[in-house]
Amino acid sequence: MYRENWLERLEKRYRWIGFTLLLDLIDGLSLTLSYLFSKTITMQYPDREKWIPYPRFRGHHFLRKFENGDTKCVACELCARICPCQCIKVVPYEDEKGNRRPLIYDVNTARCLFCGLCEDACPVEAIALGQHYEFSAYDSKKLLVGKDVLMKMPGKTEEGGKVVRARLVAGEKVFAEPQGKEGYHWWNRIRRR
Amino acid sequence: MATVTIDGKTITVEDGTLILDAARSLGIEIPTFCYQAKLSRLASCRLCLVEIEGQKKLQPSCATPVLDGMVIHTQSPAVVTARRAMLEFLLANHPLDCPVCDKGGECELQDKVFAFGPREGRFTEWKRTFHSKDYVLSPVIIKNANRCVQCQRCVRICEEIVGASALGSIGRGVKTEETSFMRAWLNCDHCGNCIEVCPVGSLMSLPYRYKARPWDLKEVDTVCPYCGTGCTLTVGLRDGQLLRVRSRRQTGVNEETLCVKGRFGLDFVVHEDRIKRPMIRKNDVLVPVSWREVSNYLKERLLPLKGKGDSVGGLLSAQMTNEEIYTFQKLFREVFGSNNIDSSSRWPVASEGDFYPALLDLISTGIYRGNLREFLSADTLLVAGSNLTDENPVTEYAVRYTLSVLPLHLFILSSRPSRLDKAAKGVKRYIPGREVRILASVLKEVMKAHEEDLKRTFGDVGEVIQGEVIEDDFVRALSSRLLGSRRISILVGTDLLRSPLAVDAFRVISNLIKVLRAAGKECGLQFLFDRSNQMGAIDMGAFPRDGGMGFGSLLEASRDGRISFLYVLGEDPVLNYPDGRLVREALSQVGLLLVQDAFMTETARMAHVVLPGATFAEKDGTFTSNEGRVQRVRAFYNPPFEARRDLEIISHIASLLGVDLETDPSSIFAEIKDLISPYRGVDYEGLGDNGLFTGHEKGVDKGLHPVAIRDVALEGWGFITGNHLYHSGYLSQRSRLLGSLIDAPFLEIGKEGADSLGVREGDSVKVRRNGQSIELKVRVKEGLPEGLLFIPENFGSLSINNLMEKGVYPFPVEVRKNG
Repeated sequence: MYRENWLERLEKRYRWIGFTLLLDLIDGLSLTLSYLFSKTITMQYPDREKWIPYPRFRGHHFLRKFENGDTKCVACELCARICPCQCIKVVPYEDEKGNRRPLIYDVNTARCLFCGLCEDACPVEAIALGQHYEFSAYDSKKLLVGKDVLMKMPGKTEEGGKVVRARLVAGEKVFAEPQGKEGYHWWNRIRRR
Repeated sequence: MATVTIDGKTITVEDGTLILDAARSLGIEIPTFCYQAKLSRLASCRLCLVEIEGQKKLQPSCATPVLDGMVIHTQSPAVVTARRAMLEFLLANHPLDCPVCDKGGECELQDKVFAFGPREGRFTEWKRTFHSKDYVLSPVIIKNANRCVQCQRCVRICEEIVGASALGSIGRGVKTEETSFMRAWLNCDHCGNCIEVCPVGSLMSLPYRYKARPWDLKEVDTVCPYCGTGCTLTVGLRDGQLLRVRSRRQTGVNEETLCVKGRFGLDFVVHEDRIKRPMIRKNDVLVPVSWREVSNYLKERLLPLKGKGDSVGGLLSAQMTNEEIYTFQKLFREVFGSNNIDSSSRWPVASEGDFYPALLDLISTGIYRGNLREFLSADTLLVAGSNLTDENPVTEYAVRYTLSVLPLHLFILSSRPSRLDKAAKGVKRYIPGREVRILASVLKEVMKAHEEDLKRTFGDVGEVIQGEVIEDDFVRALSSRLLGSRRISILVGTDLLRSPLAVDAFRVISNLIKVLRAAGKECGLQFLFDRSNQMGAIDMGAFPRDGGMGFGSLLEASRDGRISFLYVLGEDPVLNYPDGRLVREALSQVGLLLVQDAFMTETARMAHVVLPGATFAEKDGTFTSNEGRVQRVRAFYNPPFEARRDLEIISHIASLLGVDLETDPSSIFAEIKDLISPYRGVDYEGLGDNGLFTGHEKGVDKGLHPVAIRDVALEGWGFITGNHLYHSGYLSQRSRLLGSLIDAPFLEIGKEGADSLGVREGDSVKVRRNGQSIELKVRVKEGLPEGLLFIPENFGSLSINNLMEKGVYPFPVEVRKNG
């Protein structure tokens, strides 16, 4: 059985003094007040900064390639089979080199719940979920992406988990383009007591 | 009988039953690899090992028969360990390329390892590899020997069931490779049964290669639309596209086998040559019109013909369903009041009026409506007038299997050599026109031996056979064998139906059956029709009855301008009818030629009105096979463009004439069931995987028919025709895969004939008759009688029927070497 020591007993006994004088509130508000005079800590996304997620992040899918540019995918359809929301469609074919490759590899990112099971199921480590997350669209049809798009998607970078300087690109696609690799972790700017 | 205990359960089985079968009948599952029902026992995979009390070593249950009092364990620790070890051995050399392998998902090795196997391998050395890339064995078969588990099922099925012996084993031990001779291009039937039995992805279908996974496929069970054997098959579709055809284990007449047409020839359903919308001939050109316009036009033209039975006629394909055939004949008999219906354009006979009565008499006398396998378990089998290998391959597989397990004596009476000849006890080659004399000679011998029985049954029969009989080895062997048998089966092929002497041949066979039955023997016959529902067409009454005209007479009447309406449903007589000149002349004289077909055939090009019908893939209904087995045809496509199901079109035409006909197959079948006696016991809803057999109708025993033996003499060269293994009509002509197996028509000639003409295999010859000539490549076929040539009938490009003439068979021609 846990027994309180004398200090704890004392604190408990005179806690009403702190309550009456609103000490906790003053304590909290003073931290809040101190942010008024600090440097901006809000991430300036998408205009000047961008958060690069960790490598373990599950963002937009991509297909890995061999050095000669062929996709690693052998169109075994295990990803389509395991997908809980049935958002992947694979149709295999025999390419001119005699290899089994996907003729169609469609991912419906609108339906995808980014669970990453496809990545787990893939026997050749072809499909994976990367760090790209800026692919919202006005038309849900544009969220159905094919093999060509998936092969051009950025893969995983080892660096991640930082905020980098970025520039907003608002063309056909709207996204924040990282400027340089140096960055900081937003957590480091959080003030704590 | 033997009583055995398996895993504590006791069962009494026949002597000689395999432990495996006894266990399976108890519901105990023993894993197997090399075991395949119907094939010889190999017992090489050792996966089915069981422990028998009192025996030190484990025994393979697939090759060990039960003994009385045996106590067998299938789940003991020793068995489980051995099983696991065997699977580990198999996996030691099996490449783990399951993601790439087409078999992945339905692979027996995968399933077995999941169920029984070790979850880890200890083997760390290099795996055995024969080659780095899959190699193609035929236009439809591709091989990866690395995946082979040496179960030899492909080798055994190829040799024991198909009879092609195209596959064999090279090497020894773990380096055994089951493949073709020198790994070269297979010279075989391309039936793909090796693919079907391969438990792993060693032999694969090339057309299906890398197309889908088994779980993607939506499978529909249906019946093969080609020959009359009536194989059940399962089509696999992905996203509505036909990808592959497979057979089902122990189902239907085919029992996991299929021929090349059934397995690879169904791609005609996606051929682009479909009739897309109704067409009417305007200014001598077929113009696409709407259904409304064609309906108005037909109504205007057909209403005056209602009830004018003599001036209308119908020809339908025996590849239509029973329901369509029934509705079609109902349209003619009830609406037009006409009996001018025929279901085949390929049996022109001189005396058409006698043909169907004689055929019906033969059917009611002798037909065995029952399982082919039971029919074949006889003492003697006579195959008359058919090259079984080419015409009905799956029936041939059944015969070959029966020969391997039962003491069946096979006799073949055929013009064309077939692969079964080697297994036959007696083979007789004849030039068509002599078959009646041969059969009558056999009948005479049999009658001579059973004079007493005949007198008792038929009274004084008099002189049944008039004319001179022959005596040779075949006649003597067959008749003495018939006398010594208790159970006799006869398979009647289409060659007998084509001959102008068909009626005589039917009578002789009918007499033979009656005589043998009078002698106390069991005797029956089945036909070897080459159209999927020929049996059904005859049952449904799609033939001229009560003075109606058959197609041959219809053509002659049309040539004289007496036919004002001819309705051709799904048939292409311009290509098929064995008198090209007559059919073209006649069809151009018809007042209104209505062609309803799925494809733009030669006949459709001559039509006044063309209606877009459906293929078998787009309709529901039933087929009746040669065995009299009624099986369900199920739709797996929708009719494309403005095509409609044939049943809907027929009843639409009836409704234009003010008569309502059913369009629902099940209610039509109920009507058939009420009206047609053999179908009384058949229930549309009850047609399961195996279908149901129609019943026997009791024939009226009219005694023996006197037959006067006639011969048709052939001087010089004459050719006969028939189906080729890869082609049996305009449907197979529209299959891209079958087309890739055979590129051009050919001429078969016997060895002696080739020598006398001075031609060799591959030479080009000119075949000439009545000023028409065609050029063909020669194939030397040993065993074809001298003076006889064979040209397959179904090559559209050839128009071979220009060399044919109604009422003649074989067709006399001049042959000359080209150049």
